[in-house]
Amino acid sequence: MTEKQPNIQFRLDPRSGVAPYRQLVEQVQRAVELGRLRGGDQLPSVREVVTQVTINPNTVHRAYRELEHLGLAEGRTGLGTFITEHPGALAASATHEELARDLRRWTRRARAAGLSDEELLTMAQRIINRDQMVRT
Amino acid sequence: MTTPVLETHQLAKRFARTWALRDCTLSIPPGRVVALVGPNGAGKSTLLRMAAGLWRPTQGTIEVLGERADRENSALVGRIGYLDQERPVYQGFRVDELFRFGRATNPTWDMDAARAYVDQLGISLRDRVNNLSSGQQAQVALAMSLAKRPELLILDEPAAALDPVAREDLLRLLMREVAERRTSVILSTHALGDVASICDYLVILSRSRVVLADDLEFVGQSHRLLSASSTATPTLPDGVTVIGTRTSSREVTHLARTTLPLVDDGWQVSEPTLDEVILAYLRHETDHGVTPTHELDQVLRGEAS
Amino acid sequence: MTWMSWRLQRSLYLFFVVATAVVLGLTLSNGLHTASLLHQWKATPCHGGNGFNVRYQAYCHDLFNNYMHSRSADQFYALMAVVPLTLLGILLGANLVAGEIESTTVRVAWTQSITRRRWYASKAAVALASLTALSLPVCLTYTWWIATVDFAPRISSTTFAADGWMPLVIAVFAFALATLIGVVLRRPGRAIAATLLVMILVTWAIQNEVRPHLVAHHWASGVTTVVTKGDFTGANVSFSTPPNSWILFQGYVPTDWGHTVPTRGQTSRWNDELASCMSHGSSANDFTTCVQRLGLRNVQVYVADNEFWALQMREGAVYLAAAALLLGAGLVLVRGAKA
Repeated sequence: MTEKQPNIQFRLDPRSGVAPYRQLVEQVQRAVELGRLRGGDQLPSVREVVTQVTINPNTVHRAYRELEHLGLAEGRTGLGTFITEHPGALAASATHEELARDLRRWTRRARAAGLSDEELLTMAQRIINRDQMVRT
Repeated sequence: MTTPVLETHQLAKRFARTWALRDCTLSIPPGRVVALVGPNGAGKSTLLRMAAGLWRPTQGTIEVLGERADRENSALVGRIGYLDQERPVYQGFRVDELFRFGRATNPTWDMDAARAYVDQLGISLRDRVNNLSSGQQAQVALAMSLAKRPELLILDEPAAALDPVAREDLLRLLMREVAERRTSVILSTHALGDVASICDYLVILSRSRVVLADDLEFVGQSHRLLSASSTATPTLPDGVTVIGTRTSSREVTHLARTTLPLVDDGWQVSEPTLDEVILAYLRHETDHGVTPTHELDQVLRGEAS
Repeated sequence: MTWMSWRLQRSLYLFFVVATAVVLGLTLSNGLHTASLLHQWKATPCHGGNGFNVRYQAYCHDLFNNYMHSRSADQFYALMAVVPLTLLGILLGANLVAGEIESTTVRVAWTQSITRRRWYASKAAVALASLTALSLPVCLTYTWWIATVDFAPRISSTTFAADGWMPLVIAVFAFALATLIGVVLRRPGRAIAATLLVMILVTWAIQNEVRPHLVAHHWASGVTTVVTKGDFTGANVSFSTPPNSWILFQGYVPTDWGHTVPTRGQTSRWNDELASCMSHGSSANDFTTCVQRLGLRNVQVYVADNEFWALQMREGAVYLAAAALLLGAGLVLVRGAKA
């Protein structure tokens, strides 16, 4: 019996500084954003994930619980964990945390590079404007 | 109240004049994959061998799965799967002979499982163990300890000296086992990457003492990097213990353990990576050990005597 | 665990089975050859040296020499009764615990679900069973060989250890000793060396210091008769000691001496007295006069040949009791041993 290919292939970067469970959550969020995971798709079982990636099963449990908490996924007893029907909107709001963290990190680096608060804000504004111009 | 998988109280071990382990007090909850980290000679193997019942403590007590590990206890030993750092091999034995020994000495031995493990790795039952590669030998040794279906695995540097593929295979086999049987694992390792990916509880040993013992989650939450300009360094906030410090011409950065929510007070606060935390503890020079997190919390909150 | 105990020492057992078979083969062939020579010697025409026709003198002379040669070249075989079995016992014992401590496989064995006690007992039981099984043909062969080849007295220092069940009990003792020493010294090499040393001391001590006390001694007085042959006068001493007895002591003691074997110091004193008395005249009659005047008598202290099996049982019991104690001590120490 050939096994069905899993809907998502997880990757783990142990040195990235991002907690492993967080990495899994973000990868699911990204997949939903890009449409690779759709409502009703089944997430790989904990056992399958552990076969794909060398990762603690508790971490997978925790990631799935977090996805359920965020409303992105739901567990069906005896069947597994599935993406909820309308995950798109929720995926978007869930990345705010990620964005905030990236911004904090950028801010720290900029300050370490010697930029003052004013210079920080100026740079950010400039980039936003340029980006805006590119989009329109 | 769940029984801890490993509970020690002021555990110590001395060889001649050297203390291999001192003042070791731990209470590790079940269901975790525990990373035991520390430099060579820090006492990791000593602790693990005492947990496996091979060495007797000089002082203090040690309980594993709720039972005394320093008394002869074959029932307890049956619930533990142990893999020694030196990976002893019975010279000239074939894999099936080793398994036969396992079956003869363990009532809970699952021979089908043992055969399945080695089969998946392409090892024949009729291979002689000392002719296998070191990666395969480690796998066979792990299969030996898994086949008796233990509640707790104690592994002393199981992936050491293995090539990257072999170590991936070994750790993945281990994680599958944890996923299927909810086995608790205590493994000692030098590979900090392992700690982040497969472990969820961290114990750091340095110079024969425990300097940190906590869930990885709380380690992340309770440690912060505090940075400030080196020319105008503010005072440290309350409830902060500095573990390590880095200075450059422009900046001072402390890695600190905190118990209270931090008030910025002129410091730039950020989250350290797990590697940074571990390395800071390992470099931290102290005369006395730093007490484990929960006790320190109590002290800082004024709760302990 | 029984299979495992055997499997761990498999090559040792196989080697010794082959070595023992070879040694027994050689011994059997020698025994048969010597027995046949003895039979010829006792039959016509030599009649065992008791009155044979002068015509056959050269023939019987040669026959007797051949018989003695065939028998003596194989004092060596008496060693072969004891040495291989004892060696096996020592190697088994040294490797039982110390072997696994050195190779660190105790860290595997003692983390399986059996007690160290059961592990030790199982390994020891298999070793003892194998030693016993291998000893059986050895003991039977040598007991037969000693009897056939007519080594007498049987209670003597040279052949007693090869006779009866002694090869078995000595090997068992060596095994127990090596096991305990192995537990203490933790290295089989050191254990083998130490055990060999102790074995030499112990077997010597039991043979010389313990054996005489295990069995009844008898005292026989010597009757001195003066014999004159032409102008040669000599003294002939004969004792009432039964043939093939083990002579523990022969010499002069005071007539009122009790039944303890005198020490060397005491005997040399009496010999000195005799010698100084004999300085006045050295004829046979002078000798008898001196003996009487000093109040001495000639005695032999002996152990009768019919005590052979009783002595075998008792000396064997000493070895086995000691072996049991040593193995028991090993069992106790193994529980607290550092892996």
